[in-house]
Amino acid sequence: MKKTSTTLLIVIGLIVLCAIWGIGIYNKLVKEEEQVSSAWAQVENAYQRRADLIPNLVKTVKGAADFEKGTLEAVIAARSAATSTTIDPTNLTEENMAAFQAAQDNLSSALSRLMVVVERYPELKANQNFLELQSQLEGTENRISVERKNFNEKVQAYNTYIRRFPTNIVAGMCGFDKKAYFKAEEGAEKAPEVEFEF
Amino acid sequence: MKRWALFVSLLCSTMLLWAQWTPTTVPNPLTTEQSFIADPDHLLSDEDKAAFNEMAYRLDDSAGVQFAVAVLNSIDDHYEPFDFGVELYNHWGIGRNDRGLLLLVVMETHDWRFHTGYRMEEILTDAQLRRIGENNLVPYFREGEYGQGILEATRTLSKILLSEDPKAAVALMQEQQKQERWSNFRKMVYIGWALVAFIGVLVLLHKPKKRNHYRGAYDILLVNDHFAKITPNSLPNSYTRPGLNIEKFFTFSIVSAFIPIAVNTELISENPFSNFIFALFVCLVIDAIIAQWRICTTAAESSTPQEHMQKLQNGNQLLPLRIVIMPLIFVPYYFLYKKKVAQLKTAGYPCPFCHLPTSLASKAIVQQHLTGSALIEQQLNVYEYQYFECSSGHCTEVSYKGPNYAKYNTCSHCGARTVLSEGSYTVKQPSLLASGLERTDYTCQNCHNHYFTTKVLPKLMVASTAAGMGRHSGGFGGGFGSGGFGGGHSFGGGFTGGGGAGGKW
Repeated sequence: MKKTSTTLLIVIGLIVLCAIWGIGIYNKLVKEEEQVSSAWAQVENAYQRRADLIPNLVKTVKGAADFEKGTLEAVIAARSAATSTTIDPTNLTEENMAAFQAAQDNLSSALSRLMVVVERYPELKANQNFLELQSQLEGTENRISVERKNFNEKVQAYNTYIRRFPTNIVAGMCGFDKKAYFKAEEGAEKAPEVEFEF
Repeated sequence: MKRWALFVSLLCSTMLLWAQWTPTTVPNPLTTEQSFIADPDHLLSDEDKAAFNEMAYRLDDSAGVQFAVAVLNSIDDHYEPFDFGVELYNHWGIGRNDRGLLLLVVMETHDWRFHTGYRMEEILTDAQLRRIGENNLVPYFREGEYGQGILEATRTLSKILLSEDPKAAVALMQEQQKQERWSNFRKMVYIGWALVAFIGVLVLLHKPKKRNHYRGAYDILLVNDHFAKITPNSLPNSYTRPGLNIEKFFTFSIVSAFIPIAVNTELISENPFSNFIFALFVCLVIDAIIAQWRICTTAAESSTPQEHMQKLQNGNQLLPLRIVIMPLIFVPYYFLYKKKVAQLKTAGYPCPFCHLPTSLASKAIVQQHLTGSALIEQQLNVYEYQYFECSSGHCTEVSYKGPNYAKYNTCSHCGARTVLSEGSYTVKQPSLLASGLERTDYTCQNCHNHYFTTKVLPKLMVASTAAGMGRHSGGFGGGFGSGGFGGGHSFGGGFTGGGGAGGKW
């Protein structure tokens, strides 16, 4: 009688402890995932900021000089491709990430080509409006690289956490999957050179 | 001797001159020398630094912006100035609430760079910072007057930042103070809590408590040699709650409030009160299960079905509470319990005469015994009567309390429990000077005897003078005073999102 009572108590206690432990890990997982999501939102913000600059840039370049059509059109096309490629932060898989990165990198290289071509137009380089835009563009590229780095750090923390021993049980049960990183590709890692001497 | 000293100092200075800094090796000026300018290579004059700090402290106090400067001879080759600045910014954590600004100057490569905190991006755009750099820094830097350039830029920045609406900055600062106070308060709550829990554990260890179990009993009255009446025990039920006793319960809940902290997760939240409520809930659940289990097992040890039933009923007085706490378990149990009671009611009471098992009596016997006051009591749902017969022909009457048991009183005239209140009325209103009187009338439904009781109503109170007090205290001393953020200054733990501007001279 007495014995069964204590056994029951111990069993209940163990169940409660296990439940609390599980809930705790689950909540930590949710928090980590949330951090990844918010880092991703910042990444998208930074890219969006760049995309928002482009119409103005194109207008300024077009207005200032008889500019090469091909380069401008490439930038416009790359921009629309990049803005239409978005990822839901809960679905950060390798393929999605690769598609997103390809679209953005495409825009980056189109922009850097534009900046190279601009070198040939001295009147554009003296345009105050263009200079302002250019410094904004540079700032945006900087922000993108900071946010990407930050995002990669968050994803790394999350991925490590879900693969560690006791956590992986809860993560597996509740469907927390590995998330993809930004890959540093040859040449793509470097922000396009938009450095100008003032 | 002097030569040696000169040599050593020269060596040191050349070493310093060629030191390549990494973001983590640059000494944090605010913690090491209460200055906002890091100049580990001693490139600036003390006067310039003092003048800068005066402005920087003013910016910190009035605009809520922390402006730090790092002037370095050279940085590690692995770093671009931009990456170096970002890392340095985040390493120092400049700016409370991300209202920070960093100026990085690298002599070797002639680089200057501003880094803005997340919240500074709207106030200081990249273009603005570039203009400040081009107009204020570069001309002086070209002349080698680094201190003057920095001071000039700081003056321009101060103009911009101090003219911006200070309300937002003040609100941010107050918000932070509030958070700090809350976190201090939280710490105190936890410490107090730990003390209480400790004392509770000591008390528990010291005084093991003996508990009386609840009772369930029936009185046996042998009316004649073949008829017996079994009535519920008229003694007050002296039973203690079958769950944990109260000290144990609270100690458990207080101690278990620490579980979320011990597990090192934000189980409910960082709020100690919600932790406590959660712990209380967990304890209530455990307690309810233990209590229910004890009730069922001890009740099952009874010698008669009637005793079993009464023990169950007594123990389950708190069943509604348990249903509220854990409906998933206790709602099904409730139906089982009702079924069990109904079954136990008709289970035969062992014959008091010959101790043989009994079964439900025939209709004729019921009609023979269930007459007069007993019939009225049964009709009024005061008592429920069951009759049992044994094989030797003895009859046993068992009475169960009905749902209206508490509503009726026992009649001193006929002995039946059929006296019902007919309502009460005020005989005399109470006043400020004299007490009043209230009278309640009763009638026995069996013998129609009348009773009444009186109750004294207390004197009226003068309308409370307490209302309206406290108005005189008026206002809550405006402002929060200087407050201060603990001892000494430190950077507020901000982050940069990569905003800012830079260039070369």
